[in-house]
Amino acid sequence: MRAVTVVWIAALVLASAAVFWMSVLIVLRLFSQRRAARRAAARMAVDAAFVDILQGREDSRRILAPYRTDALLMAESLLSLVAMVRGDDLDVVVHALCRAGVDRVLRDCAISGIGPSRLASVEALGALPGSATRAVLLQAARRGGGRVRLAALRSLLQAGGAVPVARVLGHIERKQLLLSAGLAELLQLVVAADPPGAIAAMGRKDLAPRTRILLIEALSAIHSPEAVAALIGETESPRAEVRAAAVVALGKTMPPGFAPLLPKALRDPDWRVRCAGAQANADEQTAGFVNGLILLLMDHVWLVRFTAEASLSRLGIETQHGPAAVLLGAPAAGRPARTARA
Amino acid sequence: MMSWADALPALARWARFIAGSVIVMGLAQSVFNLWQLGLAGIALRRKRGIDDAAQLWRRYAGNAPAIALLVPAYNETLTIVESVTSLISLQYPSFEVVVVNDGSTDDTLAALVAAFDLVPIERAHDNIAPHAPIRNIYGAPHQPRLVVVDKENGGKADALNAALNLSRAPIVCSVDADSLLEPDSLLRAVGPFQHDPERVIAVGGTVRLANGCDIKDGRLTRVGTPTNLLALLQTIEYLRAFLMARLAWSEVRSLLIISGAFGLFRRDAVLEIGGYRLGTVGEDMELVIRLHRHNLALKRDYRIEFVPEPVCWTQAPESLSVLARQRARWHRGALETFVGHSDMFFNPRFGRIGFLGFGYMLAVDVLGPLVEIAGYLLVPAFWILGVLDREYFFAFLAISFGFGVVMSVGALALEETELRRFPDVGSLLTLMGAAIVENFGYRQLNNLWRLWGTYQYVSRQHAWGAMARAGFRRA
Repeated sequence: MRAVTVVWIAALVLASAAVFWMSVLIVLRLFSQRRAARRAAARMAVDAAFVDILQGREDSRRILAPYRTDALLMAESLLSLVAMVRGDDLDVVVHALCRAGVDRVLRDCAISGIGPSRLASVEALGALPGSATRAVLLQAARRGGGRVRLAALRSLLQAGGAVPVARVLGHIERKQLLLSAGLAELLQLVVAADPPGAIAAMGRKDLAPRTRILLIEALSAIHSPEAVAALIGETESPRAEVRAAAVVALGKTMPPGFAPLLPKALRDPDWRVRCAGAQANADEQTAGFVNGLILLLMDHVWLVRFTAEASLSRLGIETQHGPAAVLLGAPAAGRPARTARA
Repeated sequence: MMSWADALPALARWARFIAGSVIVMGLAQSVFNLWQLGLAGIALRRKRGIDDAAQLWRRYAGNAPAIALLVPAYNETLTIVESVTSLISLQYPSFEVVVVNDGSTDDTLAALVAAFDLVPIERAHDNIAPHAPIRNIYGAPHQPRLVVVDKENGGKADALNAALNLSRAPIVCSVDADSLLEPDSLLRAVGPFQHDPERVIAVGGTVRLANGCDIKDGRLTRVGTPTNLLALLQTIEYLRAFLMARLAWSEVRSLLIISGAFGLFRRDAVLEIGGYRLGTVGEDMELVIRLHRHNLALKRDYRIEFVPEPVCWTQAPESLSVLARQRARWHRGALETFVGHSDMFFNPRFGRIGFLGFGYMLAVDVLGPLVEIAGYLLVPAFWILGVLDREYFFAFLAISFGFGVVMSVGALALEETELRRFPDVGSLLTLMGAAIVENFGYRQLNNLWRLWGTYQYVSRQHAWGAMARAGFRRA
């Protein structure tokens, strides 16, 4: 076969493959569109049923019967309700759902379901307290993938179960929980429930830097005075990212023990720590802070220069060089600035 | 004297040589584009953004550097108020909008003054990048984020330089006055600057077409497909250019252009090279190449990135004459930049930018239109004259049309697989049709416009060309 023949056969095959690929995607979109429409109609019906239950108009078992076995639908509807309704009203619906057997459906799905159904069921179980629910959530946390485990631990907390700090840290260390904002939030909840446990965990030498940073952020968020010593200890960490996280955490509240350490952070060899130090919520009375910031205006990293300039502005100290010179660094400091007249 | 029969073998040899050259060049470009499509697919999967805006805010807003949006405006009465309204309502913790009225001859400034109650203000500013004299600076008492500069006409690069001097943020973002940014686009685009502030000097985002979409109060409320055929064909073209080509170029660290409609730069990096170059029509590409040039010459470790998720919506021309002028101008800009920096071409000092980037520019931008148009004229003519085998003719058709369909449909499929921004099956069917149809006529027309741009460049025609603005369609 000649080379030119190969070229047009290849083009024909590839063009057909591309059109086929796109056609398959269009068919998939058609199915997902129809599925979404059906689900939206069912959601509306379940929401209406919830309103009927709240108003005591209907027998919950009868009106929920057509939908009770659809775990994803019931879980999503319950999660929406939880976002809007609290207290006795929520209890009425939860009781009705349990009478209709929805709790059992969700528990089964949390253990043996797949994909979005399992995840939504695990999330929704947080609203259905009880020992059976807690046992299922513990099982899901042990066996599930990253997202299911995260949701299970969170639901366990909501359902009144205990989640030790060490357990969450263990999952993070073994990479069984994915790094996400959700994980940071979970760790904050767990740390808030057990500050001494979290402070004790800071003493562990075996924690990886990323786990340590997450723990520092969580401790910082609960504003516990007992945590200050542990956080100050982390400013001496050999890992720059850990030092930076500790400086950011302490800089937010500026506890008395941290102020003498701030000038050192501003002179740190790593730019992330210098930048963190420059962000500190310190004032002019903090020894060495203003001088440290002025020195940082010559830093070789633009973000450090800019952060230092922003902090000086916050303190009401005008830099002589103007914003562009701050960005350009020392060599441009003498450039002229002008003011356009109106 | 040589008879026709004697000349025939020689002509056949020539025909095979010409057709072979056209096919080899087309094939090389097609294989390269296929590789880009694959690379873009992998990158899109890896760079999958965060869907939830609240999560995006939590993750990035805390330490987000301030951004100055630079908005040059020339005769933009129809769209300027809506654009600025959209810009000042962006979701970002710290930003300012610097609009530069570049000596408009219509009511652009009056529209801004009336809409935002602008009053003259004084503002200290640097004078590093050159630009035409400023007449007045205005501020809005109720919109502290907004600064409007009225200056004498000097062109887009000149207006951008004025905004660059006046801005006070470490990151500047050039935005076209006829474009709309998605509310969370800055938060998404600033990511590379936050992750790697020492090395990242510029970030480009995706530009897509607002034709056919619903706009309400300066915000895009529904993504749609254009009803105008030209705009529809351009939708596919933009998908190919941004989703496929630029992402792939960024992956191999050879991105040579960041669209002027939406590009973020470190202000110090741009000021270090003296701002935008005046008197050029392709100021966006020229700036990026100069950034490469400067940083490579200083042997710095730097990055110019492209992120597919932040989206800027812009209005595409819907008439042939306006589109022809725009494309000729773009091509003229590319040629201007190529010639202006031709010493970078195959220069080992400039590494992959000199070899890969400039090599591609030469093959596709400089020689591409000439070779393709020559192919359309000569290959069928040779076949009709009987001096070229049918297989050559088919191979040429395969290269010209077959691989074109692969790229266009492939880019659309990539979008549907990874981003899913088009609303329904109907729009996907329409776009698939457009992805096939654009290879039969539109692409060839585009090559003619690029040839026209070449002619304009060679004959030193520097006019920008009027762009008719239709304003945004409202929901």
